[in-house]
Amino acid sequence: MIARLRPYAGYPAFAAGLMLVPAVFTRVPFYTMSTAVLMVLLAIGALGLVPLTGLARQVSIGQAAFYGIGGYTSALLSTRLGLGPWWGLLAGAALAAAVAWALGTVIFRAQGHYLSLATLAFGLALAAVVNELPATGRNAGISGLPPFHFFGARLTDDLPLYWLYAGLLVAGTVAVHLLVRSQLGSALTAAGDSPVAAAAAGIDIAALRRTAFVVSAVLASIAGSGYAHWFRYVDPSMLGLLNSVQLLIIITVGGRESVWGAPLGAFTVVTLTEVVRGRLPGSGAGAELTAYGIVLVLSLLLLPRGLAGLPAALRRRGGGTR
Amino acid sequence: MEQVLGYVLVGLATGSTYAVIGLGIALVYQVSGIINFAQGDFVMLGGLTYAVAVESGAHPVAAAALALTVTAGCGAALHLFVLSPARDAGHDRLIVLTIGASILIQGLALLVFGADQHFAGSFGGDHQFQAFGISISAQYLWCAAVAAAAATAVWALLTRSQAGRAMRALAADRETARLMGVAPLRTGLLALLIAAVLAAIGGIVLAPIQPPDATAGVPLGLKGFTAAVLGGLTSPLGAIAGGLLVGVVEAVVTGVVSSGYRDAIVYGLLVAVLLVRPGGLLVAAVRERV
Amino acid sequence: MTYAELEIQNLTVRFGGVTAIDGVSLRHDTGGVVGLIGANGAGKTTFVNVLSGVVRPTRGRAVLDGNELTVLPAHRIARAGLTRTFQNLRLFGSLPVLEHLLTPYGARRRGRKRALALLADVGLAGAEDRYPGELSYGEQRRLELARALALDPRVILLDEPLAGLPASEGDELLDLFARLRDDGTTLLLVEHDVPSVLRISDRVLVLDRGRLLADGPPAAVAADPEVRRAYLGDGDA
Repeated sequence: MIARLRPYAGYPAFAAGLMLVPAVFTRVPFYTMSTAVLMVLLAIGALGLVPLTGLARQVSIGQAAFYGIGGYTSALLSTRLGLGPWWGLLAGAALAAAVAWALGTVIFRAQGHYLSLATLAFGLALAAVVNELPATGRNAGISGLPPFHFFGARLTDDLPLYWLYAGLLVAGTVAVHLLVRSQLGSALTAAGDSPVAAAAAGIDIAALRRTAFVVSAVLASIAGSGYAHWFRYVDPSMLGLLNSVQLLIIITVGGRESVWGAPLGAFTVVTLTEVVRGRLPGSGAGAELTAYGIVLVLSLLLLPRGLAGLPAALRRRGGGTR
Repeated sequence: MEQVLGYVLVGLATGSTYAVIGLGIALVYQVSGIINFAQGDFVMLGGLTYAVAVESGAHPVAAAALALTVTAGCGAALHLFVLSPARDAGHDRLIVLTIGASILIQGLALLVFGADQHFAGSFGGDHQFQAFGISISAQYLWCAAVAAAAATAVWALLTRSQAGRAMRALAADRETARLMGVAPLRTGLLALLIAAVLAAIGGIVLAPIQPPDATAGVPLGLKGFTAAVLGGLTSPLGAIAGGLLVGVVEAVVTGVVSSGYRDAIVYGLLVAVLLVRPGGLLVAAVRERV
Repeated sequence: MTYAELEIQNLTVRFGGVTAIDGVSLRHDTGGVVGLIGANGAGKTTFVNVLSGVVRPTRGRAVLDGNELTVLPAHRIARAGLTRTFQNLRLFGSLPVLEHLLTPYGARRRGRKRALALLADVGLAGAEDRYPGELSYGEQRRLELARALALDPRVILLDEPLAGLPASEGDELLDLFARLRDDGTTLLLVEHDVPSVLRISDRVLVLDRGRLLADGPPAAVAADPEVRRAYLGDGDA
């Protein structure tokens, strides 16, 4: 019975953590509500990598492309057509899903790990296009986005925006959790453990991988729309490779096989970034990249299931392994 | 219009260096099954070390030797401290490990060399020659000559030496090669060392043409991937042909269209290759080691 | 044109310069155990791989009940009624035992009760919540078999199912194979253990360097002088 409930045991702690963040982050010197909003957005973006990378073992290093698709769709629809932020968020998610579906249909025809190469190239190509197109404002980007409205209130401050995005994060977590625990999740896990055996069991691994890729694109796009209406400005750096790598680090450090990996990883990685930027002023991107690289490599070597897998790893010490 | 032929010539020369970079990627993929995302950073490291050493007054030959040593050392470290401790992990995890190594190398290069571009003169002084109505630096000839020599050396190594036979045996059939006494780890180290050396060579000969900085690894690596993927990641000759094609497309687009969309087109080329030419990829699918 | 249940025509597989399967043709009508023997490298596993869609044939085709298998992707072949086990075990390490029997196509529809019954059939009753890593080697082999059975196959390819098992467990599996045959499933049994194959099979195929060297009832194949010279001579050693 306890084993049945264990998967959901994280929710009370998760909810408590999210509710405590404003009280803590506004009182300690190191964190601010901006870091809290950023953590929540990155957690939403990284969540989609749980089914894709954690279960199906497919690596995407182009999530920033979908982050950018969300951000730019929001920016264009709100500034050019005057549509509300929710429309931008939905339209961005739909566009990201369509692009991922089309890309996935072709890429997953072949076995192997071509997704990593294709997403890397697609992300960089899209970034280069956005940097050149007059419609996307070239390297100046698009500014003047409206904020989110919620029951008539303009959400321009970090605190109310935090509550809105934390709500989106909880909804996303529940959705991805249900997916992971569904028969689709089992099939994704099977395809990740052994693609050949999964196919021999009648599972269409290409379609499965594509589904997981679409889910990851939708969540990254929602995070991108959230970012766009928070900063109220988008530019091509949103599509930068570093953003893709950051999401990959978040889910790896946090634990890619569990939905809790996304918030845990986002908290850890954003904290690390702040430490590096705060403590080593002037060292710039070099120190940040070095820290990211070390954390990514060490966590994969020492803690392959990430922080979310730590309790299980500790339980298993002493007892046998499974 | 005649100028286009000049651009093609320039493209073939730079493309030959992309070819040796891609050759390194294909070699590691064949022997270890790993897509090495740090290959571009090896190119950057080789080129940057060379340029910085030349700037600080080192003789070019000494600078090149230093760059080769540093890059090869980095390749060995990647294998010993990152990939071989994780040898039982799945390929997905190994891929992410090479991504980690890639940003680590880039971060360290930024810390050590700063963010600036560094400049090294052309080999043997700055000579220009005229062809098809454009002026071409003699360095492009060096690129083509050195790349051809490097590719020939790899070919000789693969076909004539015991170690080369071990690599080809692993590539063809991992289980059988193991039964025949081929040590996968040691052979994998050798493949990664060769890849690092090829990357450094590419970085060194390109340094006078494309002055390197610490972030140059990503675009260079991507050109190498495009080259390797054109050969289905399985064929060394395919990788070389792919590298030449990337170089030509890049040079012609830059010269004839505009440099603005150059990156989009060169990166888009890899997407296009992956989308329209799964034929080469399916060869690898049959032999996927799960 | 009408086909036998399984019809193989001029099947050929080449890897680079090596011909692993060389023009194999045969037809098999419903049911029975078909034993497939041959020396190492004779092409036995390639034969299983090409029928199950892991490898594409260079030439020729295989047809099951009118479905041309050799043009279908692997998962469609499984859905068409042909499943397999693997010589090197390929279980889903992150999934509990019962999920192995619910995840295959259509298995969840047939229900949890039927999955538990399958587990009991292969002698794994009570193991449903355990993980593959906690099972003995023999149990893992039987779990693979149960997973392949969860699709309700017409034809099941067994790639060296007895390898590495103690004789007692091997005999239990052979009994299970006999029960499956009696239920009307066609079994293609690839085995090293020639006496076991000769004992249980209704029909024996002998592959030699990719070619079909012999094909017939066990007694006839065992008596075939060419087979004895090429293979059986050192088979009992």
